[in-house]
Amino acid sequence: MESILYLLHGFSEVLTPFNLLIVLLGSLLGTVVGVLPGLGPTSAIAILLPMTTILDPTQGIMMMAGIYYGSMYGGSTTAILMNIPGESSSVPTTLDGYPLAKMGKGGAALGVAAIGSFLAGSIGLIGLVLFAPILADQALKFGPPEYFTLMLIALLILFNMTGFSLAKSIIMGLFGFLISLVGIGISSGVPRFHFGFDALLGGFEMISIIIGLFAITEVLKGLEENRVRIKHEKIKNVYPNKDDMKKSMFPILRGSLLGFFLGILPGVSATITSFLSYDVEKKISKHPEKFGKGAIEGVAGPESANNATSSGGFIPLLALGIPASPPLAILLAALMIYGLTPGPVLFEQNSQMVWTVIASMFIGNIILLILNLPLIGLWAKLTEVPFGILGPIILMVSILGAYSVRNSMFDVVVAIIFGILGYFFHKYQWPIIPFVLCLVLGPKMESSFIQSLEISSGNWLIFFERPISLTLLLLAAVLIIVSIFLTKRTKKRIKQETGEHMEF
Amino acid sequence: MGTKFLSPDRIGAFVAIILGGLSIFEAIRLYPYGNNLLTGDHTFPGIIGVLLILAGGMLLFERKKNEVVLPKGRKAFMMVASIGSLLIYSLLIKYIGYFFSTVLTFLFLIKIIGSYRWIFSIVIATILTTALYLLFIVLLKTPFPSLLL
Repeated sequence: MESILYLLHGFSEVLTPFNLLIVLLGSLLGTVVGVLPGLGPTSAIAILLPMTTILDPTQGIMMMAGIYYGSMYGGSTTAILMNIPGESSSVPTTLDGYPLAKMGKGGAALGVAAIGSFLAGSIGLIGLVLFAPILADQALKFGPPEYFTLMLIALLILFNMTGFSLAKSIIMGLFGFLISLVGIGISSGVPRFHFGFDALLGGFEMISIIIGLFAITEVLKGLEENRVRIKHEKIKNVYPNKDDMKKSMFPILRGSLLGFFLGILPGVSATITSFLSYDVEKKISKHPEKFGKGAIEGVAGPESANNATSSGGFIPLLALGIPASPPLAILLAALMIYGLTPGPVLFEQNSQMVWTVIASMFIGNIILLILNLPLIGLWAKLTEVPFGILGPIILMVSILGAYSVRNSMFDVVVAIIFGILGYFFHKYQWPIIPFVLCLVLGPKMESSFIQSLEISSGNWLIFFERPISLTLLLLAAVLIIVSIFLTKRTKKRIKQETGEHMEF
Repeated sequence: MGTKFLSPDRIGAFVAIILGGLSIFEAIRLYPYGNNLLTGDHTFPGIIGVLLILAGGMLLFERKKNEVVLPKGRKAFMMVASIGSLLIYSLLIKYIGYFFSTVLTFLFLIKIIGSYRWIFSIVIATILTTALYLLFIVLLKTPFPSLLL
């Protein structure tokens, strides 16, 4: 009940002309970047993050959240009209979305995807309102050992989930940690890993690295693939008819619930839930033979699951400060840039901000639905921007964005170097998700670890002796088994459908 | 045989082992500043160093075929030229200021990636430079070097 009151207060904060404009701008900018072929939510947030820094923290985070779900929505446009999934979680959408577009029903598929995304997003947000404060309240009982255990578990599960070699995932995660350690040491104040270079004293700027890995790398991939203007299928009617809606209602509901409830578990990504939803719909359909040839249920279910999982990811992010996916890791980094401490204290110390942001997400979801259905034609036109113009824009915005965070040319060079590294990581199948998550969580994990051992006077058993920590470890054992099973299954499905290995 | 031994994954494994060694070296350097073995700025570098060496070793013995074809010819040129131009841009901006360095880099990138005609490329480069000027310098107030503008 208390949550509802806070939420209502949040609504009253959002419903001012300027805040509404921020939400609108965030959703639209996110959609624009998400629609561009090959760019997904992670690149969208990385590229646009520096531009939000002129706003105050609440408005900045509201805009970032808008960019996040706007780009998620934009991703489905390229998946349906051009058969290009922006992220691996959009692969199931292409399976029936693109055949529908070829049949001239691309508009209906986009419409169903938009309605599904809206409903799933709303279900996810209701879950966030109900569960996040409870979780945050419980998490207040957590001390450094519990936090360290929790973060370690989250990372271990994610290492397993990347879809590539476990040894490579671990190395990439450790590399992320290593990069996060560069700079001034947290307990002694002595510089670490600077090797005599003054530029390294302040450490690496997370955003530059992320811009390099996600934006510059994406352009290099585009150049390699010789991305030119890709023809998309024509859109006729953007509004799904009665029959389409009838067929989609239950898949949307099932996808939303499956996506949300599985998605709040660590180790279950949007890719896993969207593939699961697709397979569930195919299994229970009276016409499974239509799947893969243009079944609207094959778009409705996975798109809803994808969005519900992504909204669900805000629960561990806001309540525990633990990101479940790379875009949320960047949002976590953004919160830290704004001087906020994500986790249970956020609900206590910045309660007004948290509830305003949550309320803004409800509004953003509605804005996306209202604006995007009529604007589908415009978004489709955007996909026609030639790569010869788009590539240089992404590169230059990345460079200027990397510079603008700390006004440092060193950060620009770092972004370029990580752009090159990201390309080779992609080429040789070294997963970047563990790298990004460890880079963001590194400093927090280190301080929790050291504090834990200070409490226990150097006794390692502290992580097993405290009841909450032990319970978390036992739960983790079960989750890891579930995660291994689901990961293997999803890996197989991605290989089946795309013929290649993808990071998810 | 030689090329098989030096597969990309093995090179990655060796790099991981070297980084691990470097991390342990740094941990040893930092050790005197810490309170004890497990609580100090050396602890994490030490643990990460050991784990990197172990994981690198694990990867050395992993048998996975990974055929990778790197781009050649024009594609490779475009990629190297784009990255090169960005590096030159980050140096050039200090000497000739935001506007001219940005126009020149945009022009080069549009010509290289898009292969458009000169006039079109110059117009687009100027429009985009102005748009980014308005965004980053006017709106975001980023203090770029601005000798000429």
